[in-house]
Amino acid sequence: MSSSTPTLPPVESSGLPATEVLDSAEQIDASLRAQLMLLISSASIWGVVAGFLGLIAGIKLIIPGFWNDCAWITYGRIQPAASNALLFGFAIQAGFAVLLWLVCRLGARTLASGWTVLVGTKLWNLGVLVGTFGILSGDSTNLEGLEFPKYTVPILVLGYLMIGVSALMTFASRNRRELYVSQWYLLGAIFWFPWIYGTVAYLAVFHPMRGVVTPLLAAWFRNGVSTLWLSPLGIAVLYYFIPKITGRILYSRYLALVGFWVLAFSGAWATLQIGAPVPAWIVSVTVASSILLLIPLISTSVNLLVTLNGFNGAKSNIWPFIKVATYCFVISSLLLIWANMPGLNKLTYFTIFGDGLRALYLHGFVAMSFFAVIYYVLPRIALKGELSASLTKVHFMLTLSGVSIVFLALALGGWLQGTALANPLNSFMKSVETTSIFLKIGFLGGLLLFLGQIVFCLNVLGFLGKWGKNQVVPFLAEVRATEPARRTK
Amino acid sequence: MSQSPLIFLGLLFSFALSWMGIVFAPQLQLGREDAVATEAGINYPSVRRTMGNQGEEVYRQNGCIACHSQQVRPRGYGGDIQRGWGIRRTVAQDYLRDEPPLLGTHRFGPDLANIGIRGTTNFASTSAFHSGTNSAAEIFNWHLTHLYNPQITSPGSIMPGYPYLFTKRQITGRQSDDALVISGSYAPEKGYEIVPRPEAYAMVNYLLSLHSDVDLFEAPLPPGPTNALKKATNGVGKATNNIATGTSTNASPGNTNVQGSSTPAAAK
Ligand code: HEC
Repeated sequence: MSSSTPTLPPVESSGLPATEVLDSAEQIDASLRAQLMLLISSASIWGVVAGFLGLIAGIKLIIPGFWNDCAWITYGRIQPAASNALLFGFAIQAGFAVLLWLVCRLGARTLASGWTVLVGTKLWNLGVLVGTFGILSGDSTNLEGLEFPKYTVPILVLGYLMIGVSALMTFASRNRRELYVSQWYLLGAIFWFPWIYGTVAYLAVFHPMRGVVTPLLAAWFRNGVSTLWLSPLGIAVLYYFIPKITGRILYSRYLALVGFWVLAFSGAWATLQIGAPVPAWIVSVTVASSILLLIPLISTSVNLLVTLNGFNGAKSNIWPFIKVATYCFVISSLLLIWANMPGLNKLTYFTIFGDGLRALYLHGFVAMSFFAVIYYVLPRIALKGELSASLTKVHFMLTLSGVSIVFLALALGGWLQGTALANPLNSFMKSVETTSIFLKIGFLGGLLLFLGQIVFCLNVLGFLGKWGKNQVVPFLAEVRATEPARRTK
Repeated sequence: MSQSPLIFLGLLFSFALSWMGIVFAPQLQLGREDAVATEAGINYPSVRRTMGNQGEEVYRQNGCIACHSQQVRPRGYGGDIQRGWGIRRTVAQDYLRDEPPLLGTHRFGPDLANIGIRGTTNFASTSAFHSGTNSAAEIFNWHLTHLYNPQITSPGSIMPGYPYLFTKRQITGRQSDDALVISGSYAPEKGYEIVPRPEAYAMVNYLLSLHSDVDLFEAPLPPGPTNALKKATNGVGKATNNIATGTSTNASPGNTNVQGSSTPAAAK
């Protein structure tokens, strides 16, 4: 695994015998082939589906009379369907691919228990499909962020467990014993997701607690799935690729350590907004934990930015993704923390402001870092072949311009919406008018993001299709060649 | 030795802390809360009547929560109270009977925590209330029409219509009593009428059952003249209950007993 040496501290420092037998990068990538192909192609398809549902939701807000006869696509159903498909179908699923690949590569170990991943992925996709249809048919739980109906929960939990078990077994049997920074985050991610999702699915969806505890748990999940699952994975990617591509050693392992542990302790405390109908201390905890989250944010940002500072001569096709992901991580995390502070929270909580920030976070940071892994890993697991460079570039440009427009339109629009709402002398309809303009601009951004998802999907599926053909054609030729010989015998 | 067991313990410990704090402690504190008896001797929050419960289901199925919150923040928070969305903030006690509480995170539309007792001048769109009487029956019909197509009552609204909660049918003989009264470009073609389905009635009953205006220890009503408002709103609450009874027995809301119900406009 010589290609990634610069990311890792020298082996001697671990005090381990230097005779560790490491699996080679080629062996590792080959062991992940079927799993990653399945995860990545499914995620890319969900990206398109989610984008499509999101566009219909956008049209609904612009033309409220659009196709109202159809209950299945009423705004209140199609909007949660779109956001859940995006989170569970695209982001988390692509995250599984990233998680497994990094766990294998960093541990210098081929994938353990690959078949559970294959079954788990199929279950996961079934769960997302059933859940999305469930919401569209009117079965939403109405717990925001957790709208998938009750009957999808066991499918998703089982799917996750089968994937997680493989990640954990691979991690435990890793050949390179010493842990690199990225691996702390990976280990955290493996456990945090089932803990948070399991708790919330059980106590909010299956055996709902009484009263406001359920929306409180849903909010805890919404925040936790970002801070303790998507962020750790994205950060692990950046910590892996930035030293690797720049050829530099990570600026400070100590900073990374501090960042990690403060994240672990303060990441799962954020809940509802200021002024919510819950005991005041719960809201204060949210504010305090958000302030604490500045520590991991600053330490991680400094670490990453100093390491990549001044580096621009990358020939790597994934470098633009990495760079944008890094900047979007810093900006969106900072703004999301700020949005939890009393002043801004009061003004913007019920507006589209947060949607703008979350779009920047999800499409700018999380998705960009995952795309980087996918573009890096696909040609390697397939052993030969290249993804279309021009499609990759188009995908990058569409995503970058799309997310910029969505972010700016919704953040500014949300701010103005909040300002209009805060002044009781304004009629309510004034806030609706103000918001409408920005929803239209945001829609254009959403369109670009959707086109980006289509290009990405075509690129991935086209590549896999070509790869499949290359596998099948020589095989058929061989069959045909041996056929007459056999017959003559 | 490998550090991973230590890391695992750290992860478990940090997560357990958060779990105790955010899951267990609130449950300890809030799980014990129970309905309180008000002066009038009713339990608050009372269990909603059957039609109200069915309406809550329709509300959930159609995801009204995507645009409407059901929570009033304290005075000084974004003008919730000044807008007339409630006379006091809402607290955990208000949501004891909701499964789940539909707090909401977006306000594309107005807050609905008190829509059942909202004075007509506090609606987002006042254009529908020309009559000046604003009887409970008129408000009931306003909600039905608004639900069918918000453009009729609230031009420029971005709320979608819910025509699938209504039936369009050919008028045979006389127009039915419960047909919506729609004139102008949104009216159905001649010879047809729009009649609410049971879901639409259930929804409006649910909306009209929504109020969080009971004097609570943790959320007292403001003293002074606003208490007059409380009384006035109680009047409306009663009137709408009458309407609810009317519709559940399948009578037309247009001719139900709305005699002398107080005008919600007084609630301003
Ligand atoms: C796309 C967002 C959206 C959705 C979804 C939506 N609404 Fe609305 N709603 C609005 C807007 C905007 C207004 C203000 C203008 C108006 O009166 O239509 C409003 C107003 C209302 C009002 C009048 C409140 C007032 O104070 O003026 C009621 C009642 C209402 N909506 C109920 C519902 C119900 C019930 C549903 C679900 C079936 C629903 N809404 C779904 C956006 C929405």
